[in-house]
Amino acid sequence: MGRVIILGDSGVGKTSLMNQYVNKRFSNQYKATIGADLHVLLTKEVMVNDRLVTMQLWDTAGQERFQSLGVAFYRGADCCVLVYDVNSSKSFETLDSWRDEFLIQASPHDPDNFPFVVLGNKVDVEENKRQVTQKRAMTWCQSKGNIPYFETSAKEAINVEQAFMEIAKNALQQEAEVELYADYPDPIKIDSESTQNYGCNC
Amino acid sequence: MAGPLVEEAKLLGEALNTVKINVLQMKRYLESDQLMDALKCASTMLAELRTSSLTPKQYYELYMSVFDALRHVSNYLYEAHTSGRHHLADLYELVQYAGNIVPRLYLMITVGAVYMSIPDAPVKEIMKDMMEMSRGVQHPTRGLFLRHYLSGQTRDHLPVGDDQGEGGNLQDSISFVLTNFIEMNKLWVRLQHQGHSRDREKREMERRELRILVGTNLVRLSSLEGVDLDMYQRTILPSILEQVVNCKDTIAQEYLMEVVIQVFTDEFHLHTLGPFLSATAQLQPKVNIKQIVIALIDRLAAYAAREAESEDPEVTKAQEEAAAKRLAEKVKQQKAVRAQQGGWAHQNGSAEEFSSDPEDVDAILELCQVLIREQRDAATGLGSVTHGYAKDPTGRRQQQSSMHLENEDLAEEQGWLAKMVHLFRSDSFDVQFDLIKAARKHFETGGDRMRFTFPALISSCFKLARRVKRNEDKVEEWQSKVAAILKFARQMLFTLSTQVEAHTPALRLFLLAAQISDECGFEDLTYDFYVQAFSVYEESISDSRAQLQAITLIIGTLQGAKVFGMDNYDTLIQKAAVHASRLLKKPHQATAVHLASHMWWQQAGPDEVVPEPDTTKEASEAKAYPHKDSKRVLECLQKSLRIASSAIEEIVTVQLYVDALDQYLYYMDRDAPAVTPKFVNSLVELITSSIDGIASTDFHPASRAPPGLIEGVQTPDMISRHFRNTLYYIQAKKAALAGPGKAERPNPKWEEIDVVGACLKMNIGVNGAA
Repeated sequence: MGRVIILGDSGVGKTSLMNQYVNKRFSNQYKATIGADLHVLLTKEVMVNDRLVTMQLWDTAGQERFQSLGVAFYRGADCCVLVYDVNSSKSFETLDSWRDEFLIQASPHDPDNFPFVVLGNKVDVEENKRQVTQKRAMTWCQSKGNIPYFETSAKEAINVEQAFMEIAKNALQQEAEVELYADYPDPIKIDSESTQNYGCNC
Repeated sequence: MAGPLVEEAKLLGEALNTVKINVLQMKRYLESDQLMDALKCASTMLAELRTSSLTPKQYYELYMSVFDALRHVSNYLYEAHTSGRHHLADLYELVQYAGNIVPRLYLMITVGAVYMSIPDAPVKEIMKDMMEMSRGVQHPTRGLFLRHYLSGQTRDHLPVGDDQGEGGNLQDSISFVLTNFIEMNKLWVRLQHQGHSRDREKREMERRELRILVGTNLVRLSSLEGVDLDMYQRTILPSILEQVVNCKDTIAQEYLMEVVIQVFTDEFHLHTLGPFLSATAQLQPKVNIKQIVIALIDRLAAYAAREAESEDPEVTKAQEEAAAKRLAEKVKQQKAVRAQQGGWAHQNGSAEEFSSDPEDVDAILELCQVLIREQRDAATGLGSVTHGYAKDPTGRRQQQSSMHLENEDLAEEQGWLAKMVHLFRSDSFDVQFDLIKAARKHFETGGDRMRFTFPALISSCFKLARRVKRNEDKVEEWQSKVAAILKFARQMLFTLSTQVEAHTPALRLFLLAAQISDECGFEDLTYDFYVQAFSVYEESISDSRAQLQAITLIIGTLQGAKVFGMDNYDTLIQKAAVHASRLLKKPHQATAVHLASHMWWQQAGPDEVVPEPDTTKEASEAKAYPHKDSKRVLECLQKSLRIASSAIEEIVTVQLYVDALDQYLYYMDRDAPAVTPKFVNSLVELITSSIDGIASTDFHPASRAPPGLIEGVQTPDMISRHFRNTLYYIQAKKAALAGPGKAERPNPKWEEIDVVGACLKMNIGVNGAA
């Protein structure tokens, strides 16, 4: 089970991308995930390298103020997807802080090689509204260790399938690597802990 | 503080470890198909969630690790059921034998949710049962997380069809989520009332952390497939609002209202502004209503902006206007409850006024749009009223809250209201006038607030009058219309000057009215406006400097008057001159008197065509403009010098002389026959001989009453510089006259002015070099 976290400013289309990918649906009506959802988990079975694997997609609130309980679900992520809106410079500029925040909170074993994928969403909007060029985005991705970059449209289903395939591959690879390092717990503790008795049986 | 935190972190570490160990074991059992043993491990692991010693964030971390583990169980269960090894119905019963309620319910939900995903499962029954059983956990934090698990696990399996049987339908799903929401909110609110009161802050912080769990339910409702406006309007929103209002908890109300705004679609909001805002009106006094209203407006504004981009502008406009209208009406009602008195009521009132008049549809919509734009500010004001309301525990809340409003606040608040007046706009002059009239009707009940709101209305009248005048050839009977508008403004001006004693604005506005009436050619009305200005001056303006400023304004306005016959004009300017010469302080007198001279020397603008005096008319009917009487001008100037010379301090005298010199030069250049170069020469001499006296003057500048219109004292240096500049000017004129003949030669009188002595005195080279 590959675990994928999707991050990015509110309104860039994280939920829409997931819905397009998992349910093949798109709604023009904006319903903010920001309101309150602790996390939304969608699963999807994918064929990667002739293996059927389940991908867990974790959608998040794009506004930090709504993450009132912290981001414990970052832990154990196998891939982090950074989404921005190509028609909003601001949403692109915050990718840095989303990435940093993720690395701090998720604290992966090998932060330098942790797989990210960047998606520039909403490329269906007219060209003259575009604020972030492909070149600028790719330069940034290169500077962060050749992060794969896709330009997508959840609305028109452009590149969504391809992007998530790449995400799945990355997640799978990471999962395999993590299992190598998997720290098995201290076996001595088993008995003492499991027999511990808590409170009443009510 | 460090102690308990370290302790909690340690507890969390231990709990996480227990989970980890049991997960490993559980996985192994699952792999070897030993379900009972696996469930036992799961139960042990879940028992960690029974703790009460973790903070919400830590508990969440623990919950997440358990959650991950339970996914393995879910996958196994599904597979086991579909492959026929176990039946979920049996397992659903089986897991309920677990000893502790928390592990038992988590297991039950895990199994139940998987069961729901199986075709032909008794979904409705399972949902009902799980909801009932979940009531068993009443500890707030544990209950909230358990119910969050319930909501998360069932999310993808909630029925959305219209099955009337066991399978359940959309209605069942809606009531399932709604019930969960209500129960969670109760748990969440209850947390506030537990434990010692000294821990209140800590508890409130914990509650803020936990709020997201409650809000998640609302997101679930919004993402339920097939929910339409009708269901939202009839079932969902009323249930949510009822719970929000009835829980009587400030934190919950603020948060949940915002979540409602964020998670549901624009279309839903547009059709439910009424119930939403009336619920807003019933929230606890401490709730920050401003925030809620702003969030709603932001949401609708963003919607309008998006729609405007993509849609037919006509449709958009209609929708926007309709929405704006609804919002305005609802906010009005809501605010009537909150702030019955004060400007708000008036603002609301104006909306009401127009809403009841179906003929002026345009005007109504316009006003509503104005209201929605201004709502942001209105909310600010409302916030402060609410604030005062909340702070005062006594019975006379409303009364006092408005008394407590600082004057500044009042001015700011009313300022917004006044600004709004200028947004009333209709292309029809009559409608515009009706708008103003209606606004006045409401403003005039505002008592002292008229001080702030009336000037805006009055200038709006003036604007309208000028618009009508500009279109005089298109408007029938424009004169009677303009006269009516001006008379209407006159009434408000009376109120302004007598009732709220805003004398200075009233005076200025009377003079402005006089100017406009003058432009439109109403002699009697103009005369009356001047009379009113004089009355305000005589009765109410008592400060010496304010008097000087007021009389200067009157002089300046009269100087441009064109409408009067000789008699009327003479009466008015005499009156003004008398007032000028009766100012209390000599320096003020001198300034006012030399300014008064201009009333006898009306100067037409450079491009202005001055009508020839109509000789066929009686002398009394002929227009005074442009009135020119250089003898009187000279009288004024000489009088001003006399007064100046009687000033106690020489520096003041000299300053006034220098000021007067400018006036002399002006009149001479404009060919006023009586003002001859002779006078100029002797004044220059006079200044030259006394200018030494000021340089050595030894006193503190602040001890002196400044003579001019401007506050502040001129230093000797400033005065002599002024004089030198005047001398340079004279020299330049003379040089231009002496130079080679050009088309525009200065007045030849400049030739006769002699400044050689003065220039020597002031160290100015005779040829202009300093």
